[in-house]
Amino acid sequence: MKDFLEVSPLKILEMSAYKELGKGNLGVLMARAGVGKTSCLIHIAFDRLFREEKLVHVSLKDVPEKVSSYYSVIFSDLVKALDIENEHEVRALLDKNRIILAYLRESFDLDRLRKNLSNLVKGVNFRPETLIVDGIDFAETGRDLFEGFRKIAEEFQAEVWFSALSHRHIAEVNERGIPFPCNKVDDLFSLIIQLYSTQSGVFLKLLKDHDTEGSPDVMLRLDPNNFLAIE
Amino acid sequence: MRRGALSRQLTPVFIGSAYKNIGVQPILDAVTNYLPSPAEVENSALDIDQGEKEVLLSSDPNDPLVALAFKLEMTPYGQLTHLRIYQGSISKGDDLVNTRDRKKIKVGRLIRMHADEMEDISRAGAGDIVALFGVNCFSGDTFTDDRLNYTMTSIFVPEPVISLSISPKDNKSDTNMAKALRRFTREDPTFRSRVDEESGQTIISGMGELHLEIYVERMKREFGAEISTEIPQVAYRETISVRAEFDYIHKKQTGGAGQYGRVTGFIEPSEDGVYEFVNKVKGGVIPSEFIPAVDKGFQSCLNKGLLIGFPVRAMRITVNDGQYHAVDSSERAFVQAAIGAFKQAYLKAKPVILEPIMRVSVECPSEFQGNVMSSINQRRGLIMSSAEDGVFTTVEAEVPLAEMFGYATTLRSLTQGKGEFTMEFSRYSRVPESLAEELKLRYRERSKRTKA
Repeated sequence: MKDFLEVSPLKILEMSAYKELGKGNLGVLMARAGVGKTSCLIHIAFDRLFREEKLVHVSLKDVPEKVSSYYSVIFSDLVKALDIENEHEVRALLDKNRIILAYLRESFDLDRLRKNLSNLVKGVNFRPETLIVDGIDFAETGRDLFEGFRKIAEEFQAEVWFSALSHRHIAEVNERGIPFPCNKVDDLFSLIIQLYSTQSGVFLKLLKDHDTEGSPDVMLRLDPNNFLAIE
Repeated sequence: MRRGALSRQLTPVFIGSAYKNIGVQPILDAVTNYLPSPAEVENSALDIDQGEKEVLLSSDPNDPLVALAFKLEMTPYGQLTHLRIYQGSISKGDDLVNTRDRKKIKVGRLIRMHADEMEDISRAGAGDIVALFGVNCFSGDTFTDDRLNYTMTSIFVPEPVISLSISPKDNKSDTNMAKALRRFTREDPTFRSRVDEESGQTIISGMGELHLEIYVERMKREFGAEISTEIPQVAYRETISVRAEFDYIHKKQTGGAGQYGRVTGFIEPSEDGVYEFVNKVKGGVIPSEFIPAVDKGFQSCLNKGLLIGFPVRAMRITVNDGQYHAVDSSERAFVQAAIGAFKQAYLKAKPVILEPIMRVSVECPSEFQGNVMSSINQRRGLIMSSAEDGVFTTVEAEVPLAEMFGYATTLRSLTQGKGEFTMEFSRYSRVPESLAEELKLRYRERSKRTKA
């Protein structure tokens, strides 16, 4: 079996200042529609799960079965790509360390999330080290929500990864080079990664690297078939 | 008002008391004035003669009869069957046909029920609810006047979620219990009863602990059956975890024709969960006519594993060599050789005990999410997800079946009676080492007692 961590999209962080997002911090993966944002976000989740860390996937749009099926499909790709032999055992281990929290029909608010996470910690002894948050509309969301997430990240000592949808027709970029829709909240995020595709392939680009001044100029090429890093 | 009620934009509310007969008439008038007329509802049935094609019913009393038995009730005078007439009419003395078994019945008394009072009538038409005595049928059966062969769309019957093992305290109770079970399974499709082949226990299953408690009480009260209940035995399984070789000779010479058979090969775990026999014998070292006997010998061992006596699953057995004797070899000898080979290899293949894991879904008001999660955790459960939808939460988890007995009561108490759960079989999984040891110990003690 090949080592997932050798080909994980988060390998891009090996070239970053701290080599990780870090507990209590927020990170965001931004991309245009259809590029593979959710797949890449789930690869980030697998990166943490293969390290045997506990993870909570927070979905604001999909029911748990759908989220779970995303994981299943991507895991099946990984089985082939990494020659995983003991598929059932690996899968059982990954499932054991992942819980999906879904908030359907606008049921989401930060207090509810905080309560649910506390229930997991107190009732199940499941202390998440990473939160994957999918389905937040960055264009419509104010700073308050992300500030709230920051407090939750600090309170639970977890790192929180988001996905953000960027738009071709909105070319807004702030003075620090961060494009819409993260341009007004970039100070709340420690890492901002852009996923984009060109004719020569699919790439990850680090747009913000903690408190490093200027553009980090760090890129990683991904295999367009499975979003794994190409050497 | 009627338009608003029909489009569900208005909900008329009436205040009254049936006990004091206040407001009863206005609410009955409102049912007539504001709610849909039966003529506006499309009722359908399935035409058995046309491959269960859906057909609309007319609610015309002059059309051929279609009626549904929707409730059975035991009375001092025998079984009372409640029928709703969807099409056509029934008169005293008519012949009706049960479309399930094509049996004919004659309508003796035709009754209109007024709570527990009965009014004898001579005719009833579409839309009426009537009761008949002396009809031998199940809930959900359809009756016609034999001019049609229709069946009403079957009522959705959910799978039972909870089971209990029951046993009669004496012979009289045994007979009465059997009568009661026959009766209950007829009148309630969500109540099931079976004898477990593995344990010989009588198992009753239903929709909740309270559901089963009521039937246990009714067996006692109405049928005079004194029974004791206990949680049923969990259907454990055994399997092997590594490959192991065998080379076994079955040899017997006790005067007369002897027995000789030798089988060589290996057993290994099979991924797809079933038993597989692979014949790789070459050069006729085991003649082809004896190969099925070898397979049969191995299969006979699968019913009772050597760890705790439960069936063995997910095993591939490959036979690649052997030996026979021109005179002493027989089918019987090779069956015995396979049994010996199985015993030789099984314990070397590091057998493990598997338990059924259930997919459990608990729905409750969100304020109880923490309680529910803790209760699942205490039952060796694995939380898979939790979905918030309005003020409700649905927690999905995988929990060993052995830990789910009594959960309905626990959940009721944890959620002030507002939580409910469903479960279904998901997969088999290895039991923890401590439980495996306990099960092995129990099996050894049971075996000793049986031998003694």
